Parts: sequence; C-alpha cells; structure tokens
Amino acid sequence: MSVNYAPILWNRQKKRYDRIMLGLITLYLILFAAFQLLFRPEISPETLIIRATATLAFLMLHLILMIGPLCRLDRRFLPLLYNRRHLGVTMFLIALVHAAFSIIQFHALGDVNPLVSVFTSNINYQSISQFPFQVLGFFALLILFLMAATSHDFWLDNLSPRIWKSLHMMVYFAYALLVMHVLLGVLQQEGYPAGFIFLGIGMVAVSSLHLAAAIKGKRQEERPEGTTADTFVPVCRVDEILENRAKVVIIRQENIAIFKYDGKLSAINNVCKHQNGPLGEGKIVDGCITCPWHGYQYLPENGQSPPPFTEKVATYDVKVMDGKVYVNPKPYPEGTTRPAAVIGV
Amino acid sequence: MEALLTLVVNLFFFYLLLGLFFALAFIWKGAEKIDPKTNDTSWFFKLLIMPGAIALWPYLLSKWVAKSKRL
Ligand code: HEM
Ligand code: FES
Repeated sequence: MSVNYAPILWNRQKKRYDRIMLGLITLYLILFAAFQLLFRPEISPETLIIRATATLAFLMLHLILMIGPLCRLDRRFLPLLYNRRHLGVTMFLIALVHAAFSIIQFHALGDVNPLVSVFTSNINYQSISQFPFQVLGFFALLILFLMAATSHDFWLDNLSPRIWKSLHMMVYFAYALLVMHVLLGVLQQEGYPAGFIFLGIGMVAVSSLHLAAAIKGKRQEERPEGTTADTFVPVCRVDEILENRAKVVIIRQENIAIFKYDGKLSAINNVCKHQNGPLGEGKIVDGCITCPWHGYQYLPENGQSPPPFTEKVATYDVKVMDGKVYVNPKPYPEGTTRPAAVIGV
Repeated sequence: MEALLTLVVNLFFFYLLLGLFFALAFIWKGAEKIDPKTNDTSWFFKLLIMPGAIALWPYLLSKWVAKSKRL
C-alpha cells in the first residue's frame, strides 16, 4: 500500500463490481428505450433521455439505500456494499444528465438564466397540483453532488469523519425530496397508475428494510450476559500491535478488536454499527477508533460514538501480563465503560 | 420575487466562480499543505477532488489558513 492517495482504488473484485454495474445500466437503458419506442413512438429523443436517466437514477438510489440494511440483516449481501461508492457516483452522474437535459429542454430557450428559470418559470409554491417540482429535484441534485464530490477518502480524512458522515446522512433528505419531485411532477400531472405502484413499492421496500435492520440491532443489544465462561484468553504479544492500530481476534464467535494507544489497550466489538465495517482494520484518529469504511467513530474505552452520535458497540476486558495481551471474550452491554489495560514498563 | 431569486442564483454562481479559482490554487499548493498524503499524487486524483474543492472552498480555505499560521 502506498502512503499517498490513489485516484480510484480498483482491484479485481471492484472492477468486476463496476463491470456488472455498467452492464446492468446499459441493459436498463436499452430496454427502457425499446419499451418507450414501442408504446410511445412519438416520444422525442430529449424526452426519452430525460425519462430514461431519471428512472434509472431513481432506481439506483433505491438500491443504494437498501444495501445498508440488507447487509445488516444478512452478511451475504456484503459484496454489494463493497463498492457502493462507485454506485453512488455513477448514480449522481446519471441524475446530472437528467437534470441537464431537463434544464436545456424546459429552460434554456428563453432569455432568462436557465437556473433562474428553474425557480421562477413556475411560482405556484403555495399550490399542490401546480407545485414547481423541479426545484425539489434541484436541491436533491445538490445533495447528491456534494456526496459524490466528497466520496474520495481524501474528504473523509480532511472534512473529519463527523462532518463527512453528517453530509452523507443527507441522502435520506435527498430521497424525500425526490419522492416529492416524482409525486408532484409526472405522477400527479400524468397520473400513470403503474408509476404510483412502483413508487409505493420502492418506498415500502426502503422503509421496511430500515425498520427491520433497526429491530434486529435492538435485539442484539439485548443479548444475554454471562453465557460464556469468565476467563481471559491469550491473544498476542503487546509489541505485535502497532500504535493506534488493532489486533482482531474471534473467540467463541465474538469478533473482537484490541486497540493500542497512549500506552494502553482497549477491546471493543469489531463490527461497525453503520454497515458492519471491520473496525479493527481502522485506526485511532483524534482519540476515536475510526471505521475504515465510512468513518463512524467510537471511543476505545466505552465503545460509544462521540456526541451527537449515538452508536454503541460492545466492550471487553483486556489485561497485560509479561508483555502478553489477554482478552475476556465475554461482551459487556454496548457502550459500557471498561478501564483500559495499562501497558507496564 | 423574480429579482430576488435572480440575485440568489447569481450569488450562487459567484460563489462557485470563487470556488473555481480557489480550487485551482488548492490542488496546486493547498492540498499538500493540509494533507501530506496528497504529495506526488496524479493529476487525475487532483481532478477528482476539484469539484468538492469548488463547492466547499470556505472550509478548505480556513483549514489552509490555520495550517499556515501554525507553521
Ligand atoms: C435540477 C434538477 C432537476 C430538474 C430540473 C428535473 C426536472 C425534471 C422534469 C422536467 C421531469 C418531468 C419529465 C417528464 O415530464 O417526462 C422530471 C421527472 C423526474 N425526475 Fe427530475 N429533475 C431534476 C433532478 C432530478 C434528480 C436529482 C433525480 C434523481 C434521481 C430526478 C428524478 C426524476 C424522476 C424519477 C422523474 C420521473 C421520471 C419520468 O419522467 O418518468 N430528478 N424531472
Ligand atoms: S461501516 Fe460504515 S462507517 Fe463503519
């Protein structure tokens, strides 16, 4: 691994992911065009592009939102998560084509600045049936742009994981804006029954998966204590763990990351609450264990995300004897403070 | 209403224009200053961080200034 940033991290798996993604995108666009030309041969090329890219980007956004909870419900979905970043950036670019063509088609011919025209050509902001739904699309696009533009690890490092995470949580707001963009726009004006049904299915799928994942998370939080024997297990020598890094062990099905920092050792559950990222492959940044996937943070001594965040992972007891690290695989309830083991001289 | 919106949109474009100038300076000098890991990175990497630098330039500028003061 190099110490400098690479433009795009590609490996065999990620290339395969991207190839499948591009293949499916092409397939979708061909099928959509064929379908439209068959049933609406009078459609203009611009309208075809606007609709094909709009529906494709919206579909991809649903997929992107569903991957997280799917992985939390079942680890077999993890390969989908692996390169979701590229999925997100691609989705933004497709949505951008939709927006650009819409602006050209509907706003570029007058003498008003096209972007001003998006806001002023329809000013029925009090009306529901005539609502300027394109404005909603614009703000959603702005959020998607910020997310795509900051998706490189450079931004995770330099915006601080906390700002980065807050920024990327806005995807839910963008989703809500887009639901309204579609509902108040084409669906209301043209009223395709199939459109309402598809939108309904999408919303139910996204929200029920999030609910199911949240319920599963709650259950795990209430896992019974004291089911394993109360004993310490030897792990490795202290000097095998690098400063601000972790050693990962799985003992009696407990996936544990033992971090070394400031002359101390602390152990927390290795599985990130965000999307099961491997916390033990991350490092300690500004005193917080920072997930290598999207930067969620946890304090080593209590497994809690610093406020205002509320994620918590289980903690474990660690001790050091004769330069060796021992851990007790009995988990404490998530967020329990455990004193760190001090590495003696 | 229209005059106000025109003003807001124009301010938005002005913000992005300033961002463009900033971003050019940033990928030339600033990025290395605030994050040594950008040393010797490719032009393609710099192109990738351009859009974000155009959008978030006040934040990056404040980091750049803070870094310069500390050194
Ligand atoms: C500046 C931003 C945007 C503008 C000006 C805009 C404009 C439009 C317009 C004019 C339509 C109606 C098209 C028609 O009648 O066929 C539409 C529909 C739609 N837009 Fe957008 N949009 C924007 C952003 C977005 C974004 C970011 C998405 C995200 C995926 C999106 C998704 C959709 C969808 C799914 C439809 C309905 C598809 C259909 O026409 O069948 N839009 N938009
Ligand atoms: S899995 Fe996303 S931050 Fe840990």
